Amino acid sequence: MGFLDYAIFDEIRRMNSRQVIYQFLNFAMIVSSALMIWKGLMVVTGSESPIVVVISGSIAFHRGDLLMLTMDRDDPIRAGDLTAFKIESRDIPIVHRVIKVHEKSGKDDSKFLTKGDDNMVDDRGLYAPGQHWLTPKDVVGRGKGFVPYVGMVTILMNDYPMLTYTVLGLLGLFVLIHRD
Amino acid sequence: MSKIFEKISKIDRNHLIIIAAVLFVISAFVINWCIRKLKGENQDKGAPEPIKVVKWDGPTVKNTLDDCVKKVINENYSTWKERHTLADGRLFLSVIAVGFAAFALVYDYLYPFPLSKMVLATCSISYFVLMFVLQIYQWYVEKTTFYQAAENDGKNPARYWRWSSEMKRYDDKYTLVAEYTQGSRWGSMKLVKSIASYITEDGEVLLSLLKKDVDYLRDQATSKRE
Repeated sequence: MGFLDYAIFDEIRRMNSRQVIYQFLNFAMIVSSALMIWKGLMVVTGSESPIVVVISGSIAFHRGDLLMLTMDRDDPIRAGDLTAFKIESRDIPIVHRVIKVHEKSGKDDSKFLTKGDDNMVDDRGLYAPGQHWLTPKDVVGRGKGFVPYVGMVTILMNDYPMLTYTVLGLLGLFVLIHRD
Repeated sequence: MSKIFEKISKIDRNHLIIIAAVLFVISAFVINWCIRKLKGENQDKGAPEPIKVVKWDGPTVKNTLDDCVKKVINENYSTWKERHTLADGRLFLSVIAVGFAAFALVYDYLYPFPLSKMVLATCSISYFVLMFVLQIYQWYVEKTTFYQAAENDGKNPARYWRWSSEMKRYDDKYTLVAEYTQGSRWGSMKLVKSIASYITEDGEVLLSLLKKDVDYLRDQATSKRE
Protein backbone atom coordinates (compact mmCIF):
# COMPACT_ATOMS: atom_id res chain seq x y z
CA MET A 1 0.00 0.00 0.00
CA GLY A 2 2.77 2.45 -0.91
CA PHE A 3 0.31 5.00 -2.28
CA LEU A 4 -1.36 5.56 1.08
CA ASP A 5 1.97 6.23 2.79
CA TYR A 6 2.17 9.84 1.61
CA ALA A 7 1.97 12.54 4.27
CA ILE A 8 -1.32 13.99 3.05
CA PHE A 9 -2.99 10.70 3.91
CA ASP A 10 -1.68 10.76 7.50
CA GLU A 11 -4.98 11.85 8.95
CA ILE A 12 -7.06 9.34 7.10
CA ARG A 13 -4.74 6.51 8.06
CA ARG A 14 -5.18 7.34 11.71
CA MET A 15 -8.97 7.51 11.54
CA ASN A 16 -11.03 4.73 12.98
CA SER A 17 -14.05 3.44 11.08
CA ARG A 18 -16.49 5.87 12.71
CA GLN A 19 -14.41 8.81 11.58
CA VAL A 20 -14.12 7.44 8.05
CA ILE A 21 -17.89 7.07 7.88
CA TYR A 22 -18.23 10.64 9.14
CA GLN A 23 -15.86 11.89 6.42
CA PHE A 24 -18.06 10.33 3.77
CA LEU A 25 -21.18 11.70 5.42
CA ASN A 26 -19.53 15.12 5.42
CA PHE A 27 -19.03 14.83 1.69
CA ALA A 28 -22.60 13.61 1.27
CA MET A 29 -23.89 16.56 3.27
CA ILE A 30 -22.10 19.05 1.06
CA VAL A 31 -23.60 17.44 -2.03
CA SER A 32 -27.01 17.25 -0.34
CA SER A 33 -26.89 20.92 0.65
CA ALA A 34 -26.31 21.92 -2.96
CA LEU A 35 -29.07 19.57 -4.08
CA MET A 36 -31.55 20.83 -1.49
CA ILE A 37 -30.84 24.47 -2.33
CA TRP A 38 -31.47 23.69 -5.99
CA LYS A 39 -34.70 21.77 -5.32
CA GLY A 40 -35.75 24.44 -2.84
CA LEU A 41 -35.30 27.09 -5.51
CA MET A 42 -37.37 24.98 -7.87
CA VAL A 43 -40.22 24.94 -5.36
CA VAL A 44 -39.96 28.65 -4.52
CA THR A 45 -39.83 29.91 -8.10
CA GLY A 46 -42.22 27.28 -9.39
CA SER A 47 -39.99 26.70 -12.39
CA GLU A 48 -38.28 23.47 -13.45
CA SER A 49 -35.02 25.26 -14.12
CA PRO A 50 -34.97 28.23 -11.82
CA ILE A 51 -31.53 29.37 -12.89
CA VAL A 52 -30.25 29.23 -16.45
CA VAL A 53 -27.11 30.39 -18.18
CA VAL A 54 -27.20 32.50 -21.33
CA ILE A 55 -25.30 30.70 -24.09
CA SER A 56 -25.80 33.00 -27.06
CA GLY A 57 -26.06 36.57 -25.97
CA SER A 58 -27.67 39.77 -27.14
CA ILE A 59 -27.34 43.39 -26.09
CA ALA A 60 -29.39 42.86 -22.97
CA PHE A 61 -27.92 39.49 -21.97
CA HIS A 62 -24.35 38.59 -22.61
CA ARG A 63 -23.00 35.08 -22.91
CA GLY A 64 -22.27 33.78 -19.44
CA ASP A 65 -24.95 35.72 -17.60
CA LEU A 66 -27.02 33.90 -15.01
CA LEU A 67 -30.76 34.30 -15.39
CA MET A 68 -33.36 33.65 -12.71
CA LEU A 69 -36.69 32.27 -13.86
CA THR A 70 -40.01 32.07 -12.08
CA MET A 71 -43.07 30.23 -13.21
CA ASP A 72 -46.53 31.33 -12.30
CA ARG A 73 -49.21 29.82 -14.47
CA ASP A 74 -51.90 32.09 -13.04
CA ASP A 75 -50.15 35.29 -14.04
CA PRO A 76 -51.23 36.09 -17.60
CA ILE A 77 -48.53 36.63 -20.17
CA ARG A 78 -48.39 40.20 -21.39
CA ALA A 79 -46.56 41.90 -24.21
CA GLY A 80 -43.19 43.12 -22.95
CA ASP A 81 -42.58 40.11 -20.66
CA LEU A 82 -39.36 38.21 -21.02
CA THR A 83 -40.30 34.57 -21.34
CA ALA A 84 -38.25 31.40 -21.52
CA PHE A 85 -39.86 28.93 -23.88
CA LYS A 86 -38.99 25.61 -25.43
CA ILE A 87 -39.55 24.70 -29.01
CA GLU A 88 -40.70 21.16 -29.57
CA SER A 89 -37.69 19.30 -30.87
CA ARG A 90 -35.13 21.48 -29.12
CA ASP A 91 -33.69 21.02 -25.64
CA ILE A 92 -32.39 24.47 -24.97
CA PRO A 93 -34.92 27.10 -23.88
CA ILE A 94 -34.89 30.51 -25.56
CA VAL A 95 -35.44 33.69 -23.59
CA HIS A 96 -37.07 36.40 -25.71
CA ARG A 97 -39.56 39.18 -25.30
CA VAL A 98 -43.28 38.74 -26.02
CA ILE A 99 -44.47 41.24 -28.63
CA LYS A 100 -48.00 40.11 -29.44
CA VAL A 101 -50.61 38.37 -27.31
CA HIS A 102 -53.98 37.01 -28.37
CA GLU A 103 -56.21 35.93 -25.51
CA LYS A 104 -59.51 34.10 -25.51
CA SER A 105 -61.75 33.31 -22.56
CA GLY A 106 -59.64 30.69 -20.79
CA LYS A 107 -56.06 31.38 -19.61
CA ASP A 108 -54.65 28.40 -21.43
CA ASP A 109 -56.09 29.62 -24.65
CA SER A 110 -53.74 32.49 -25.34
CA LYS A 111 -51.29 32.68 -28.18
CA PHE A 112 -48.26 34.90 -28.33
CA LEU A 113 -45.42 35.87 -30.54
CA THR A 114 -41.88 36.57 -29.42
CA LYS A 115 -38.89 38.41 -30.77
CA GLY A 116 -35.36 38.77 -29.54
CA ASP A 117 -34.49 42.36 -28.64
CA ASP A 118 -31.52 42.27 -30.96
CA ASN A 119 -33.19 40.58 -33.89
CA MET A 120 -34.68 42.34 -36.89
CA VAL A 121 -37.54 39.85 -37.32
CA ASP A 122 -39.80 37.94 -34.99
CA ASP A 123 -39.15 34.37 -33.88
CA ARG A 124 -41.44 32.62 -36.33
CA GLY A 125 -38.33 31.34 -38.10
CA LEU A 126 -37.30 29.59 -34.88
CA TYR A 127 -40.60 27.90 -34.17
CA ALA A 128 -41.33 24.34 -35.28
CA PRO A 129 -42.41 23.96 -38.92
CA GLY A 130 -46.08 24.93 -39.18
CA GLN A 131 -46.08 26.66 -35.79
CA HIS A 132 -46.90 30.37 -35.97
CA TRP A 133 -47.68 31.09 -32.32
CA LEU A 134 -46.55 29.96 -28.90
CA THR A 135 -48.95 28.74 -26.25
CA PRO A 136 -48.62 28.84 -22.47
CA LYS A 137 -47.66 25.17 -22.58
CA ASP A 138 -44.38 26.04 -24.29
CA VAL A 139 -43.35 28.45 -21.56
CA VAL A 140 -40.87 27.19 -18.96
CA GLY A 141 -40.49 30.42 -17.05
CA ARG A 142 -40.35 34.17 -16.95
CA GLY A 143 -37.13 36.12 -16.58
CA LYS A 144 -37.11 37.85 -13.24
CA GLY A 145 -33.51 38.86 -12.57
CA PHE A 146 -29.96 38.30 -13.68
CA VAL A 147 -26.39 38.16 -12.43
CA PRO A 148 -23.68 38.96 -14.98
CA TYR A 149 -20.59 36.83 -15.76
CA VAL A 150 -21.16 34.23 -13.05
CA GLY A 151 -22.46 31.67 -15.51
CA MET A 152 -19.17 31.52 -17.41
CA VAL A 153 -18.06 28.77 -15.05
CA THR A 154 -20.99 26.58 -16.13
CA ILE A 155 -20.26 27.25 -19.81
CA LEU A 156 -16.61 26.28 -19.31
CA MET A 157 -17.60 23.13 -17.48
CA ASN A 158 -20.00 22.24 -20.25
CA ASP A 159 -17.48 22.81 -23.02
CA TYR A 160 -14.64 21.01 -21.25
CA PRO A 161 -16.17 18.14 -19.29
CA MET A 162 -12.68 16.92 -18.29
CA LEU A 163 -12.32 20.13 -16.30
CA THR A 164 -15.53 19.40 -14.38
CA TYR A 165 -14.46 15.90 -13.44
CA THR A 166 -10.97 17.02 -12.36
CA VAL A 167 -12.16 19.94 -10.26
CA LEU A 168 -14.98 18.01 -8.62
CA GLY A 169 -12.76 15.00 -8.10
CA LEU A 170 -10.05 17.05 -6.38
CA LEU A 171 -12.59 18.90 -4.23
CA GLY A 172 -14.18 15.61 -3.21
CA LEU A 173 -10.81 14.10 -2.33
CA PHE A 174 -9.89 17.15 -0.29
CA VAL A 175 -13.09 16.96 1.73
CA LEU A 176 -12.65 13.25 2.29
CA ILE A 177 -9.12 13.31 3.64
CA HIS A 178 -9.24 16.41 5.81
CA ARG A 179 -11.12 16.56 9.09
CA ASP A 180 -13.52 19.42 9.62
CA MET B 1 -11.67 8.99 -25.58
CA SER B 2 -13.81 11.97 -26.50
CA LYS B 3 -16.54 9.57 -27.65
CA ILE B 4 -16.81 8.31 -24.07
CA PHE B 5 -17.21 11.83 -22.74
CA GLU B 6 -19.81 12.61 -25.36
CA LYS B 7 -21.78 9.61 -24.24
CA ILE B 8 -21.46 10.58 -20.60
CA SER B 9 -22.75 14.11 -21.19
CA LYS B 10 -25.72 12.67 -23.05
CA ILE B 11 -26.74 10.60 -20.02
CA ASP B 12 -29.50 12.27 -18.10
CA ARG B 13 -28.11 14.30 -15.20
CA ASN B 14 -30.30 12.45 -12.74
CA HIS B 15 -28.90 9.12 -13.90
CA LEU B 16 -25.43 10.48 -13.27
CA ILE B 17 -26.32 11.47 -9.74
CA ILE B 18 -27.64 8.02 -8.96
CA ILE B 19 -24.56 6.35 -10.43
CA ALA B 20 -22.33 8.71 -8.42
CA ALA B 21 -24.22 7.89 -5.22
CA VAL B 22 -23.79 4.15 -5.74
CA LEU B 23 -20.06 4.55 -6.50
CA PHE B 24 -19.75 6.68 -3.40
CA VAL B 25 -21.23 4.03 -1.14
CA ILE B 26 -19.06 1.33 -2.68
CA SER B 27 -15.91 3.41 -2.29
CA ALA B 28 -16.80 4.06 1.37
CA PHE B 29 -16.65 0.34 2.02
CA VAL B 30 -13.53 -0.12 -0.06
CA ILE B 31 -11.61 2.60 1.75
CA ASN B 32 -12.77 1.36 5.15
CA TRP B 33 -11.52 -2.10 4.25
CA CYS B 34 -8.19 -0.68 3.04
CA ILE B 35 -7.67 1.18 6.28
CA ARG B 36 -8.45 -1.93 8.32
CA LYS B 37 -5.93 -3.88 6.30
CA LEU B 38 -3.28 -1.20 6.79
CA LYS B 39 -3.79 -1.16 10.52
CA GLY B 40 -3.71 -4.94 10.61
CA GLU B 41 -0.40 -5.02 8.69
CA ASN B 42 1.21 -2.51 11.02
CA GLN B 43 0.35 -4.48 14.12
CA ASP B 44 1.91 -7.59 12.63
CA LYS B 45 5.19 -5.79 12.07
CA GLY B 46 5.93 -5.62 15.80
CA ALA B 47 7.57 -2.23 16.33
CA PRO B 48 4.91 0.49 16.36
CA GLU B 49 5.52 3.13 13.71
CA PRO B 50 6.47 6.52 15.15
CA ILE B 51 3.69 9.07 14.90
CA LYS B 52 4.76 11.96 12.74
CA VAL B 53 2.99 15.21 12.12
CA VAL B 54 3.72 18.44 10.29
CA LYS B 55 4.36 20.56 13.37
CA TRP B 56 3.37 23.83 11.70
CA ASP B 57 -0.11 22.67 10.72
CA GLY B 58 -2.12 23.72 13.80
CA PRO B 59 -5.39 21.83 13.28
CA THR B 60 -3.60 18.64 12.27
CA VAL B 61 -1.33 18.83 15.33
CA LYS B 62 -4.35 19.18 17.62
CA ASN B 63 -6.10 16.25 15.96
CA THR B 64 -2.95 14.17 16.14
CA LEU B 65 -2.43 14.93 19.83
CA ASP B 66 -6.06 14.04 20.47
CA ASP B 67 -5.56 10.72 18.68
CA CYS B 68 -2.42 10.08 20.72
CA VAL B 69 -4.22 10.74 23.99
CA LYS B 70 -6.86 8.24 22.91
CA LYS B 71 -4.16 5.75 22.02
CA VAL B 72 -2.39 6.20 25.36
CA ILE B 73 -5.61 5.72 27.29
CA ASN B 74 -6.87 2.74 25.32
CA GLU B 75 -3.54 0.96 25.46
CA ASN B 76 -2.79 1.56 29.13
CA TYR B 77 -5.98 1.84 31.14
CA SER B 78 -7.45 -1.61 31.06
CA THR B 79 -10.54 -0.78 33.12
CA TRP B 80 -11.55 1.97 30.71
CA LYS B 81 -13.83 1.14 27.83
CA GLU B 82 -14.26 3.71 25.06
CA ARG B 83 -17.79 5.02 24.46
CA HIS B 84 -19.00 6.60 21.27
CA THR B 85 -22.36 8.04 22.25
CA LEU B 86 -21.59 11.61 21.14
CA ALA B 87 -20.10 10.56 17.83
CA ASP B 88 -23.00 8.18 17.20
CA GLY B 89 -25.46 10.99 17.82
CA ARG B 90 -23.71 13.12 15.24
CA LEU B 91 -23.63 10.27 12.72
CA PHE B 92 -27.31 9.56 13.31
CA LEU B 93 -28.32 13.19 12.67
CA SER B 94 -26.19 13.34 9.53
CA VAL B 95 -27.59 10.09 8.18
CA ILE B 96 -31.17 11.30 8.66
CA ALA B 97 -30.39 14.60 6.93
CA VAL B 98 -28.76 12.87 3.96
CA GLY B 99 -31.67 10.44 3.95
CA PHE B 100 -34.10 13.30 3.39
CA ALA B 101 -31.98 14.63 0.55
CA ALA B 102 -31.68 11.19 -1.04
CA PHE B 103 -35.43 10.62 -0.76
CA ALA B 104 -36.13 13.97 -2.40
CA LEU B 105 -33.73 13.10 -5.21
CA VAL B 106 -35.29 9.71 -5.89
CA TYR B 107 -38.87 10.96 -5.60
CA ASP B 108 -38.23 13.85 -7.97
CA TYR B 109 -36.63 11.45 -10.41
CA LEU B 110 -39.64 9.11 -10.36
CA TYR B 111 -42.31 11.84 -10.35
CA PRO B 112 -40.81 14.88 -12.13
CA PHE B 113 -41.18 18.39 -10.93
CA PRO B 114 -44.65 19.78 -10.64
CA LEU B 115 -45.89 16.50 -9.08
CA SER B 116 -43.06 16.35 -6.56
CA LYS B 117 -43.48 19.93 -5.38
CA MET B 118 -44.83 19.08 -1.90
CA VAL B 119 -42.29 16.34 -1.26
CA LEU B 120 -39.42 18.54 -2.39
CA ALA B 121 -40.59 21.41 -0.21
CA THR B 122 -40.91 19.17 2.89
CA CYS B 123 -37.57 17.44 2.32
CA SER B 124 -35.78 20.70 1.67
CA ILE B 125 -37.12 22.32 4.82
CA SER B 126 -36.49 19.21 6.92
CA TYR B 127 -32.95 18.98 5.60
CA PHE B 128 -32.09 22.54 6.59
CA VAL B 129 -33.78 22.17 9.98
CA LEU B 130 -31.69 19.03 10.60
CA MET B 131 -28.54 20.88 9.53
CA PHE B 132 -29.37 23.53 12.11
CA VAL B 133 -30.01 20.90 14.78
CA LEU B 134 -26.71 19.22 13.90
CA GLN B 135 -24.87 22.50 14.29
CA ILE B 136 -26.49 23.15 17.68
CA TYR B 137 -25.58 19.60 18.71
CA GLN B 138 -21.96 20.16 17.76
CA TRP B 139 -21.76 23.49 19.56
CA TYR B 140 -23.59 22.70 22.79
CA VAL B 141 -23.69 18.96 23.30
CA GLU B 142 -20.45 17.70 21.78
CA LYS B 143 -18.41 20.90 22.26
CA THR B 144 -14.68 20.15 22.18
CA THR B 145 -14.95 16.55 23.41
CA PHE B 146 -12.88 14.05 21.50
CA TYR B 147 -12.95 11.03 23.79
CA GLN B 148 -15.46 9.33 26.07
CA ALA B 149 -14.97 6.28 28.25
CA ALA B 150 -16.65 4.28 30.98
CA GLU B 151 -14.35 3.21 33.79
CA ASN B 152 -15.54 0.09 35.54
CA ASP B 153 -13.49 -1.45 38.30
CA GLY B 154 -16.20 -3.80 39.55
CA LYS B 155 -16.76 -2.43 43.01
CA ASN B 156 -17.84 1.21 42.59
CA PRO B 157 -20.50 2.63 40.27
CA ALA B 158 -19.07 3.33 36.82
CA ARG B 159 -17.18 6.53 36.14
CA TYR B 160 -17.97 8.24 32.88
CA TRP B 161 -15.04 10.17 31.48
CA ARG B 162 -15.06 12.97 28.95
CA TRP B 163 -11.82 14.33 27.56
CA SER B 164 -11.79 17.52 25.52
CA SER B 165 -9.11 19.70 24.04
CA GLU B 166 -8.61 23.12 22.54
CA MET B 167 -5.90 24.84 20.63
CA LYS B 168 -6.19 28.39 19.35
CA ARG B 169 -5.26 29.33 15.82
CA TYR B 170 -1.55 30.04 15.33
CA ASP B 171 -0.96 29.29 19.00
CA ASP B 172 1.20 26.49 20.36
CA LYS B 173 -0.66 26.00 23.63
CA TYR B 174 -2.62 22.75 23.81
CA THR B 175 -5.33 22.68 26.48
CA LEU B 176 -6.36 19.23 27.65
CA VAL B 177 -9.34 18.81 29.99
CA ALA B 178 -10.35 15.59 31.73
CA GLU B 179 -13.79 15.40 33.35
CA TYR B 180 -15.70 12.58 34.93
CA THR B 181 -19.05 11.93 36.55
CA GLN B 182 -19.64 9.08 38.97
CA GLY B 183 -23.21 8.95 40.19
CA SER B 184 -23.61 12.33 41.81
CA ARG B 185 -19.88 13.00 42.09
CA TRP B 186 -17.85 14.75 39.46
CA GLY B 187 -14.34 16.00 38.97
CA SER B 188 -12.29 17.74 36.32
CA MET B 189 -8.74 18.90 35.69
CA LYS B 190 -7.21 21.10 33.03
CA LEU B 191 -3.68 21.26 31.70
CA VAL B 192 -2.26 23.83 29.29
CA LYS B 193 1.09 23.07 27.71
CA SER B 194 2.92 24.00 24.59
CA ILE B 195 2.93 21.32 21.91
CA ALA B 196 6.70 21.56 22.06
CA SER B 197 6.48 19.50 25.25
CA TYR B 198 5.40 16.47 23.25
CA ILE B 199 6.68 16.96 19.72
CA THR B 200 10.30 16.72 18.62
CA GLU B 201 12.14 18.88 16.08
CA ASP B 202 11.27 16.37 13.37
CA GLY B 203 7.57 16.33 14.20
CA GLU B 204 7.53 13.05 16.05
CA VAL B 205 5.06 12.76 18.92
CA LEU B 206 6.63 11.26 22.04
CA LEU B 207 3.90 9.15 23.57
CA SER B 208 5.79 8.61 26.84
CA LEU B 209 5.73 12.34 27.62
CA LEU B 210 2.06 12.55 26.71
CA LYS B 211 1.30 9.55 28.89
CA LYS B 212 2.82 11.30 31.90
CA ASP B 213 0.41 14.19 31.49
CA VAL B 214 -2.57 11.93 30.81
CA ASP B 215 -1.80 10.04 34.03
CA TYR B 216 -1.41 13.34 35.87
CA LEU B 217 -4.79 14.60 34.67
CA ARG B 218 -6.54 11.39 35.59
CA ASP B 219 -5.02 11.33 39.07
CA GLN B 220 -5.73 15.00 39.75
CA ALA B 221 -9.30 14.81 38.52
CA THR B 222 -10.16 11.82 40.69
CA SER B 223 -8.29 13.01 43.80
CA LYS B 224 -10.31 16.19 44.24
CA ARG B 225 -13.26 15.31 46.44
CA GLU B 226 -16.44 16.92 45.09
